[in-house]
This record gives sequence, structure tokens and C-alpha cells, in this order.
Amino acid sequence: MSRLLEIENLRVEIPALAGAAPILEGVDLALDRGEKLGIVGESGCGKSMTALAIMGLLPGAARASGAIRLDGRDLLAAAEREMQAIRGRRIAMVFQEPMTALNPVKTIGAQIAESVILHLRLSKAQAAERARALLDRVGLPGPRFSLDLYPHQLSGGQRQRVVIAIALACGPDVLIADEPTTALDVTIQAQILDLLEDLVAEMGMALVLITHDLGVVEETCERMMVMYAGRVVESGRTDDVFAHMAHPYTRGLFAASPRSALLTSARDASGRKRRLAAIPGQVPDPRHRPPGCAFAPRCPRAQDDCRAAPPPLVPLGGPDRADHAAACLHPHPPAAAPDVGHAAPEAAR
Amino acid sequence: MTVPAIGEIEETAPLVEVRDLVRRYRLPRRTLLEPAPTFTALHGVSLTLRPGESLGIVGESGCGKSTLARTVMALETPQEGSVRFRGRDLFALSRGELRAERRHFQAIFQDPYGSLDPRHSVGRIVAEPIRSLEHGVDGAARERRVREALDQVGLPASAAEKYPHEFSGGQRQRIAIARALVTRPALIVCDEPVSALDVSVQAQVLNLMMDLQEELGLAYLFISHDLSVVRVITDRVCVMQAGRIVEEGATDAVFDAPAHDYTRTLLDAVPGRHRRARAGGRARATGRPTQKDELR
Repeated sequence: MSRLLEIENLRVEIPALAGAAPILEGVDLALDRGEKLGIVGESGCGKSMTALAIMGLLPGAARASGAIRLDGRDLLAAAEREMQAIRGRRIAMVFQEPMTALNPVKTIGAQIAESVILHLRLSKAQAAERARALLDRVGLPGPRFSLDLYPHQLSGGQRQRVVIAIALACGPDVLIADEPTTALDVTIQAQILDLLEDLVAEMGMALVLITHDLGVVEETCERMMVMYAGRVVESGRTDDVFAHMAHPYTRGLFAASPRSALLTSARDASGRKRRLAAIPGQVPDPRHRPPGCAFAPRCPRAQDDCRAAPPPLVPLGGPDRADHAAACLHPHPPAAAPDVGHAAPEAAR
Repeated sequence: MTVPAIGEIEETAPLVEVRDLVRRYRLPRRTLLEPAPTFTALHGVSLTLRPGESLGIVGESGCGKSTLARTVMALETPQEGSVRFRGRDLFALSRGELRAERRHFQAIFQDPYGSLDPRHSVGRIVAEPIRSLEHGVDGAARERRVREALDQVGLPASAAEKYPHEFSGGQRQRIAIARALVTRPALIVCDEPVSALDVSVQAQVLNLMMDLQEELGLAYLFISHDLSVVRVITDRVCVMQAGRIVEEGATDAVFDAPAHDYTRTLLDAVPGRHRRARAGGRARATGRPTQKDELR
């Protein structure tokens, strides 16, 4: 039986003067209804490109190969007309910046109604009714939040709720949220994540949540993928990935995050401030990626064989953690799982 | 709120003393005859910063933290209250005196792309504060100090010949730090200095800032909405809500035992914190999957 969304060996490259720059290489992904998948990585790792490829919104010059199948139908081979029927109807997207994703000169009601009139051929009155129901559902109840409001009359969190309402308008099968909470304050961020989780459960959508924030993925998604320099370097169930962190990059990303220090004192025994475990160097430019593992130049575990060819994503074994895989020749052994969140039980709360 | 004794019982004279700052902004008139409404961004904020100390200001957007930072740097004039820097009231100084004082406090901003002039070489950008704030520094001395500042932030001397677009975000933020260091200030006001950076680069820049604080005895006024960053880099923290400081104290104490409801709300909202805090490392260390439903 075919999965709802399946990506197989996706490769995207952008032709440049000095040869093509590969943006994505060998990305695989499978998703069913009701599943929540997190894609984590730093800027330039290809996580947003993956989303744009699914939406058929890659930049004009980009060339994609491989397959992206929605219910068995290959979207890469689909004509633009077909994609228009799918985009917004079956696959919808929530973008990072609620300020720029909305049209400032149209009312929020009109922006929500637009896609249902287009895709579902509802009348204006029906569309308005639907828009009202959607706004109520995303936590913007009438009459305070009238359909006639303009985006500038709303706060950032409220705007993001409108963006979510637009994405949900046609009841999509797949919802892609690209950094949906990055521009928001923490308390609002938590509300928006809760809303997304509730909606996914209620409407039976599949959610692809793209973020640079490991904490967001840990809290929201059952499965996750870590990307680095255009490749998936570790994937599996979120619990398994966090328990093991086989790939040195996953571990490095976690250790470098100040969030890992949130629960512990920022000072060591001598009262000196603890330094974060920074990953040295920076993400390589797509035009100048090293021939082997792209992380090797920054990796504390790199050996000569790492620099020969990019390691494939292989299952780490273990019957109880079936789809946990890492693209590393020298992964961390499971026994040495980092003692994260070892902080004292929360006496204070 | 009153300032806790922590700054007062200390022997060292405070570097910055902020007393009862009130900053109001006029809003557009609604009708012709009514007086224009005002928005109060700061409702009587007081704080003390000692030399070499790193003080964090956390809060959500619109709480007044950036207004506070701008007022401390005398870029905004408050309606009430005072800012004393090294014992001198910044708003009582003449323009010339204020200008002379500015070399002792510098700033780093959030956007490493917007805060560096793309048409100027890095050398010129870093030398700018010397040119505009210090008199009688000759070209050779200026160049020497630019090299020194670049070296302090871990950039090669050759960086001075290059232009901002040749650098990544993290390196640009290093350039911004070098520019702040070049006048050898006692205080650097940092407004969200790492929130535009990727996690691995963010850690590099935070570590650099900690090193510089120790080596040079710098004080930081560190404005951020990111609680984890604030925990890592600050000694003391003020939590701001709607123009007021609602909680203040040693960073570890505030994070481990928040006294104010709002602080607790902020801490609870940090994603990933619940699972880690409640399920803890125990389940994770043994590799047992955590039961999601339990945690709701």
C-alpha cells in the first residue's frame, strides 16, 4: 500500500557557472496520515528546500530528480496545472513570517476564503461561513476577530493563526510548517505548537514540521530527521534519536544548544561560566562541499575513511528501534547516550 | 519595584545606575480635540550594573526591553528618571561630554546583515567608533587597535581588507563585536546579539563573549527573549513584563526557583522543557521510550 507522502532519492541542484551546486542529495522520507515528522537542521542544510520541492515551488533554475509521491502519484512529473490543483488543496504550507505571508491590503476573511472559492468552488457566502468557522477553530473567535480585519490590526501570534487557518481552509492531507514559531515569543510559540498538534489529531493530517529547534521537535513530533549539508544524517523515532544521538552532528547540535544548559547551573564548581560545546567551523557552501562526509571537517570522530565518500544512511539495528538510521561510518555507540536533562528533579515547581 | 540590596552592599561602585525610568511615546490622535493618547514603554524601571557583570533583561516583544537598552545608551530621552554611567548622569551631560562618554559604552545589535555598512571595508567599519568618538588617534595607532580588536574576536588581520558580504553571519557578528571592543569600553549593550545565528555558530559567539568578559572585565547588558541564552551568559537577570521589572536576581536562582508567576510562565513555555524536566534523563539514559501521553 502506498504511503500518503513518499520521497525517494530526491536530488535538487541549482546550475551555477562553475558546475551545478547540489542543494539536496538522496533525501528519502515517508509519511502517513496523522503522523508528525520533524525536520531539523541549520540554515543551508536543505530543510526548507525539501519543503519547497514537495510544494512544487522550487526556484525556477533548480533541477530536481528522484520522486515525490502523494498517494502514489509522482509530483515531480506532474504538470504545473496539476500542481495548482494539489497545492493548497491537498498539501498546504505555513510559513515562518506571518508578516510577509499575508497580503496587507486584503482582509483576513478574503484571504482565507480565496482558496476555498478556488479549490472547493464554494459560493462567497459559503466561503465566508467557512472562514468564520476556521477563525473560530484557530482561536480567533468572532465578533472580536471579524473577517473584515486587516493583517496589521493583529499581533504576530494572531497573524500566524490566520496563516494556519488559510493553510487548513481546504482540509489538506499534508501540512508543511516551515519554522512556524521562530518569529514568535515563547509563550505564543507554545500556544501555536499546541494548536498545530490539536489540529493534526482532529483532522487526521500529516504534519511536516521544519525547525532549527530540537526542543520543538522533541515536544511535537513522533519521528524526526536531522539534515546537514543537503543530506539526511540521522532519522528515526524522536525518542530513539534523542536517546541515542548516533550521528556526531546530532549530538553536536544538541550540545551546542543553550537549551541543553537551561536546566543546569551556568557555572562550574569554581564559579566560572561554563562554555557551550560549540561545533567548530561552519556549514560548507553547497558549491564547495567536501568529497566525503560533509560534516567530517567539523567532526571530532572523523577518520580517513570519512573523507572518501559520503556515508549512506544505514539502519542502526536493534529490533525495538526499527527505523532509526544514521549516515555515519563511526556513529556514537548507544551506550554512550548523552546524559541530557540530568538536572535535579524540579524541586521548585 | 525597588532594587534589591545586591548592588548596594557590594563594595564596587556601580557602573550603571538606572533609577525610575519612565518613557512614554505619543500615539496618533484619535480625534481632533482630545489630547493624543500615550503608550508607556517603561513604567519606572530601576537597575544596577556593576563593572564586569553580565546582566540579562528578558521578556517578550513589546515589554520595553529594547527601549530600556536604548535609554541606557542615551539614544532615547526618558520623561522621568536618570541613567548614571560611572557616576555621571548621562542626561545632564552636554552634547560634547556625552559624546566623549560614549566610547565607554558600545552596542551590538541583532541583525549581523543590517548593522554593517556593505560599502565599507571591515577595517573601516571597525575603526569607525575611534574616528567618531576619539580625537587625536593617528592612522597607525588606529590600524593597530583595529588589528587588536579583530584578533580578540578570532578574526585574522587580513579580514580588515575584506567587505561584509564576504563573511558568514557568525563572522559578521564577530566583526560587530570587534567594532564594539575597539574603543575599549567598560560596557557593551547587546540587543539580541545571537538570535539571528544558527545554533552551532550561536554557541561560538556566546563562548567568545564569555571569554571577552573574563579577559577584559567587560560588563554586558544583555537583552534577549531567549531564556536559555540568558541563562548561559548572564550573572544576574531582570524579567520584564509590560514596562516593569517583575523579578530580579542571580540568574541561577531565578531560573531554578522563579518567584513571579510571569517568570514561571516564560520558563514553562520553552519547548522541550516539559518532557525533559518531567520524564527526565532517566528514561532517556536507559533508552526506554518516554510515554508521550503520560506527559500531557
